[in-house]
Amino acid sequence: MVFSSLLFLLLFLPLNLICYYIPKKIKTRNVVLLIFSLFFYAWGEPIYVLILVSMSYACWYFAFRIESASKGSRKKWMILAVLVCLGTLGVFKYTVFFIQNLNLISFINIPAPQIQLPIGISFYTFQLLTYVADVYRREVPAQRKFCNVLLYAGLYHQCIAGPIVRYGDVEKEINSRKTDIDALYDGFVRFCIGLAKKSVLANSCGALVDMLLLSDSALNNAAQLSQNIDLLQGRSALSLWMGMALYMLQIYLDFSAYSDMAIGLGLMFGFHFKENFQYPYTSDSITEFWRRWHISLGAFFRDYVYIPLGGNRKGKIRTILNLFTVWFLTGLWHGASWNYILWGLYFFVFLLLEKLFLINTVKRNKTVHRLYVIIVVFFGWVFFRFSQLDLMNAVLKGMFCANGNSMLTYESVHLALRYIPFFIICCIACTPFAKKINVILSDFTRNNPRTQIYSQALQIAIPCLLLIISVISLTGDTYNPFLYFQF
Amino acid sequence: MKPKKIKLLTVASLIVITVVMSVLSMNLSLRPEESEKEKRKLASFPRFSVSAFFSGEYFNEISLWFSDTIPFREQIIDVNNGVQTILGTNAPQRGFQENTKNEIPDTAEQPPATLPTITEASQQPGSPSETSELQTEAVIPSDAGEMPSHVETIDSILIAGNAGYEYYNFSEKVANNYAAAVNTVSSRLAGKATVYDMIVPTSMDIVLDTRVREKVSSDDQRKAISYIENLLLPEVRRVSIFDTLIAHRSEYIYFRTDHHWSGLGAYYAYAQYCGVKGVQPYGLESCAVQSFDGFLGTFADKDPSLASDPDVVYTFSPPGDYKITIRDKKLNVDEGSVFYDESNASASLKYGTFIWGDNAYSVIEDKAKATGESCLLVKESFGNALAPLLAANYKYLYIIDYRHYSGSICSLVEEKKITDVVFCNNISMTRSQSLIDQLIARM
Repeated sequence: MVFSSLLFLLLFLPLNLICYYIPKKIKTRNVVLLIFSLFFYAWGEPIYVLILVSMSYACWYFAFRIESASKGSRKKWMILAVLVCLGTLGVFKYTVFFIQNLNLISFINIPAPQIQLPIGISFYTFQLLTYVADVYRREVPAQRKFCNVLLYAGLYHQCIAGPIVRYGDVEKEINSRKTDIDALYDGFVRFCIGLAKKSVLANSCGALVDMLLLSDSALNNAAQLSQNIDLLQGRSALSLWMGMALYMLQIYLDFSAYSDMAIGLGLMFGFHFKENFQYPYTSDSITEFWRRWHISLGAFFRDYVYIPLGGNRKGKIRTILNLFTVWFLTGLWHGASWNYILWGLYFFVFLLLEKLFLINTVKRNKTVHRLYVIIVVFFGWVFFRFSQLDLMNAVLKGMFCANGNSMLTYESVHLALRYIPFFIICCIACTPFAKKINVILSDFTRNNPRTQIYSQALQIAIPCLLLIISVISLTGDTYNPFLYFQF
Repeated sequence: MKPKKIKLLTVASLIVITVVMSVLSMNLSLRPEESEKEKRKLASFPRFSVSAFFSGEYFNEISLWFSDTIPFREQIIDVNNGVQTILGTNAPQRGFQENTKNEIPDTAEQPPATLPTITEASQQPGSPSETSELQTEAVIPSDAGEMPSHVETIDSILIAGNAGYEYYNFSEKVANNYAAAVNTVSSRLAGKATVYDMIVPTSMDIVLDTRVREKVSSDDQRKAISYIENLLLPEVRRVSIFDTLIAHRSEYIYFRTDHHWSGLGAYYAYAQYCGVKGVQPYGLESCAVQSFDGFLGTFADKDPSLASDPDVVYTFSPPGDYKITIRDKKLNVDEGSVFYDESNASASLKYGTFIWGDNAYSVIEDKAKATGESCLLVKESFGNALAPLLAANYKYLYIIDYRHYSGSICSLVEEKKITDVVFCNNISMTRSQSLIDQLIARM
């Protein structure tokens, strides 16, 4: 099930809220939340819910053993936990990729098995790893109850699309949390904002992207490769630039919308998850971009890979090697395909350049360095979008009319003109503009008490309007993609 | 009001809205079963099966049913269209037509004579058709006067003035496959039946104002049809109707609100077919005419402004005593007049008057003839308007819609002793591999 579905909005969530708030005891509420979470997960993955349960059980057990073990065997249990978690992730996510690459060697020909990726496995695996690692570091005590570990890993708010919530961040709230009207208000409003961002903006961007740059299903159809290349080579440069710009907007709006909804849902049920996006497209450097983009993943790799590898404390060469490892893994985490690795390493190059030379140069001029970030990130999304090198090549060349294609066509100009207002709205949604307007309006109403009534009416009306528009947008809309299946 | 009260009111409002929507959504009696706008049956509640349950398919289908059949669906979609127009978010659902690179070759480099798996054909492809040779290419007269004031692209449709036009983009590989499929049928039926091939262009290249047409990057349909016809085996008789339709472009030969051709357009194609077959067509003046007004086709769904000027569906029935027997894809059988009475049907369904719409298998019998030849029309929906006219020169006209039919074309020809097989497809079909696959499956 996904948040942006009518079944979730009109049936699952209201039922969950009712069942959750009837009992007063936190234990009963946790049971309710756990049952709903497992049901949410099992809705699309009835068998794979067993993997979630088994991995949670294993990590609960390992953490328990780590805590109670002697100094020598703690590490063994920790290694075992990592092997089990990453082994499971590896089997489900990377086996086919591994075999495909092995088959490139001329004398090897292993038939690739058909393995369906359990939804959200990368998210909950990393969450469980943070739990075991934090227990190992003695930062948190091991959880006595398996159900609570399962609730932490399987909580439907963040289980399938993040953010990667650390156990330490919610440890106390699992057994003791309060929901007051402030939290409920913040939760509902945040959820409505995320829902509208997803169903109105991101889905519309996605439909345009699929139209201009082919849909995921068409791109993934190997039998259609030559047809796809022909099609993309025939696109005008304007269409390709537009398609990629809209993809850049879609991926932010969609992903941050899921995080908004997750944070909002968390607040409705008394959990406080950390922010996962902080307007990354307004960053001044790639280093800053990655501090604002998918923050929970960046923090995971920083705290559980980069720093344990030595971070920047072991000399320049080792720092570069550590960074390379982190960005190779960051790419690989996003999908079992070389284009994701290329995407990760592409950022590694820029981060390294910034670390070594550019950081001071680019900081001199705000416009220039923001433009630099936008351009670097923009081309990064080309690597992210196309898993086939030929398609990537066709798009990159086509953007500069190197396919023999035209710069403009009647259709692309028409489309561009038609969607300019929508494009501007999406761009604004990627900035803190609305937040700033809100602050200005609040100041204004504070100084002008007569306008207070309008401001209060807006405060009530806007979330309601967003909810209604979202439900309307989702009705009869066959285009409602879930982008995180490969994660 | 205190901030806490505002927050409480906001949360309460959101809960009330959600509860109202939830209660309505759970009222099964309000859930629609069909969508008139989309002309389709909506998703039904899935039947339980163990395999569907464990694969997750069962749950996905429930989700689909829940959202697809939401109460007041059509009204909400209307509101949605309005909201999206205001917000400028009404993104197209499919098919952006733009090709700045396709070149349609005059002939294929190595065209397959028949489908790769079938090798009985020994003839060489590529001979130009008698009709192609005989006909000189008609020059499309440049339009003058007022240009359409309103021109825009919506999905794969161009809207110019009060009419829609469907884009076309050529795919050499798929075009080759289409020709190979027709050639294969012709080879298999050698000595038994004559195969005719008719490719119907979309209105874009026939009736669209030439000054608008030259700006639009839709591939040249005349060239594409000529390319396909050059791939056909010599014994396949080409019914090249492009120039015939050009000659009548100022007449009402295509609908404005729909992608189909009109009964009149089909009549000119019928006359052209008779010329190729060497028989006399019935004159237009001898045909009985019926009309159904208020027709709003697929283009009107894309651009609601077209709804202000609906089409009229005219049917032309040559002299004879025709009766149609239809068998739909669920094998239900029915019979009656060749034209279904659409007087009271909804605006979007009026094209369905021709042979009762898209049915898997139909037979038109001219009871006025004691004996006569039999013909098989292999078609998609464009063939519907042609069928009542084609029936005039035969005792029996068998019609199969290969998208729904489950039998074999060649077996049917042999079984019914059919002497002529007519392929009538619109040009969009010749770029759709999935449709060609369906055709191949029926050979």
